[in-house]
Amino acid sequence: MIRLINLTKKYGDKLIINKANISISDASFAVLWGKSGSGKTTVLNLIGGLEKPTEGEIVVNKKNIDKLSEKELVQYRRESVGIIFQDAYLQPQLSISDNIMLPGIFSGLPREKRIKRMSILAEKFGITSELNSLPKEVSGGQAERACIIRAIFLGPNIILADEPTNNLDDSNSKIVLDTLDILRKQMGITIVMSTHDKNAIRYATQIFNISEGVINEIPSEKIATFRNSGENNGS
Amino acid sequence: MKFRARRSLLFVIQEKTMGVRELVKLSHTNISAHRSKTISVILTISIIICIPITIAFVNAGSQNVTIKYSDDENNDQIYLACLYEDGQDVVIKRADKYRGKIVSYKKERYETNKHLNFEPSSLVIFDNFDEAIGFYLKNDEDEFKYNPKKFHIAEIISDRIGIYEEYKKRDAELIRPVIIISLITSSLIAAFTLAHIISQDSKLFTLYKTLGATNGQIVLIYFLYILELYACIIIISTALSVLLSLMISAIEWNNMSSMLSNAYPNSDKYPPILIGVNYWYPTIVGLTLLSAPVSFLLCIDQFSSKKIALRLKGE
Repeated sequence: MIRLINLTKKYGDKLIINKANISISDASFAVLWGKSGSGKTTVLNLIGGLEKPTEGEIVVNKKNIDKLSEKELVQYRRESVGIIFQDAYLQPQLSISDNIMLPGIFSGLPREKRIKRMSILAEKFGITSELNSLPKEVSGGQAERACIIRAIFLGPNIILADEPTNNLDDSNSKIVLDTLDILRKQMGITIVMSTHDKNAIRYATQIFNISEGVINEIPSEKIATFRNSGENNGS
Repeated sequence: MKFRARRSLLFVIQEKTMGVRELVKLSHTNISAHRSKTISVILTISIIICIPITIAFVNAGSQNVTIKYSDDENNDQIYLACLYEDGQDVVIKRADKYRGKIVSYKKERYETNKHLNFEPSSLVIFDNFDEAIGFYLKNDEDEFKYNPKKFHIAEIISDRIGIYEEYKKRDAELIRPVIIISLITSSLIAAFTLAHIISQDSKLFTLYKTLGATNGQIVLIYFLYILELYACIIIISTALSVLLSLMISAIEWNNMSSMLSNAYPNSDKYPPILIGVNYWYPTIVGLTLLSAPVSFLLCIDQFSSKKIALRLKGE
């Protein structure tokens, strides 16, 4: 369970999030819906412990994230969350396999275990033949799948995905969304995804609309209507 | 509490087990990620550092050649005329310690071209330079209970110690200021470059953090990068210095040969190759390596989470 309680985030005088109160259930596919610059990435960064709130609390699995020490935050990032960046952000100088194994390197996982885990995941996600390639040598969809594998490498129970389908064509976008949905259904991982991709809201079990610093959850009975309007409007 | 303690122990173990190989690999990616900046900073600093190294090489080289001529001229012996104002006893004891051979001093025989400002009581002859310099430097006043000011020593016939002192003076006058200027300049260049690279890598820092890297691990990656940079700088600047010293040798060959032949007419002729290594080379290398952490510390504030977050917001 992820809870934002009276959460406010400001950059200087600029108000980004204003007293947000939301709950994201376990194994949910939560979509943060909003225009560019509406604060979606900030919400993900706050849940990921990359930024501190100006006011309010963030409680993830009964842990108050904003009260964790730097060491505890590192441990939280290693064990509880996997983050997927916009535009499949992979380290361009490292091969796909090395990119995937980065969380294992930072957490001190022995090399043999890293390789074994990476091979199993790569096979499962169908990118075995791309493992020795550099990020620039693979397609956008393959790079995005590598990012997903990297995000789940240490077995987190939350994935924070920042517009993962941005710049992907419809077929690759569908592969990525299907993959995230499978992770949610089979492994019980909570997906929190910021997007303005109309395809994404089909997968959503919870939708949060962010506009002018205010976060509103779309009631479950209106999700279907929102899906239709989203598909019609695009954002 | 128990659970927290176990978790923090696990954290410490994991911190320590992040392999050196992986760290080096990650720091090495910085070189390819910032190739043009890295190459230009390596070349610039190498050129700067090669100046003091070349001076040290040429100075040591010319000292070595001069000593060879001088040693040949005097059958490798060093002649020190000396007088202790309070008696001959200390002279004998010190000469014995440094294995010098005492002979009586004959003014009309030895004082041909040097006018001494004291009346020597004896002449001590040494076969070994280190022992002669030990005797000459008078650092054993406590051991022999004498007043160094009353102990007069002058080198005659040979000029091995004269050469040593002359080059020591040159080193102090020339190399020291050049080293100081070179190291300050190169540290600043490295610090500015690193600060620029770090500011460009804000997104990468965030990526590493989201993947579970600690601040310490990120700092270590960039510290290894700057060490790698400085290792390249030392190799390249040494190679450049050897080349420059060879060029100087070639230019000065005839000049130096005739000068030495005139000064030491009885010596064999040695090729005046002006490359030599004395304590200055490891000193310059050591100081250059030490300036790596200095450069790093100059931009350590760039790693602060606040600065990174602000830069990301600015992007």
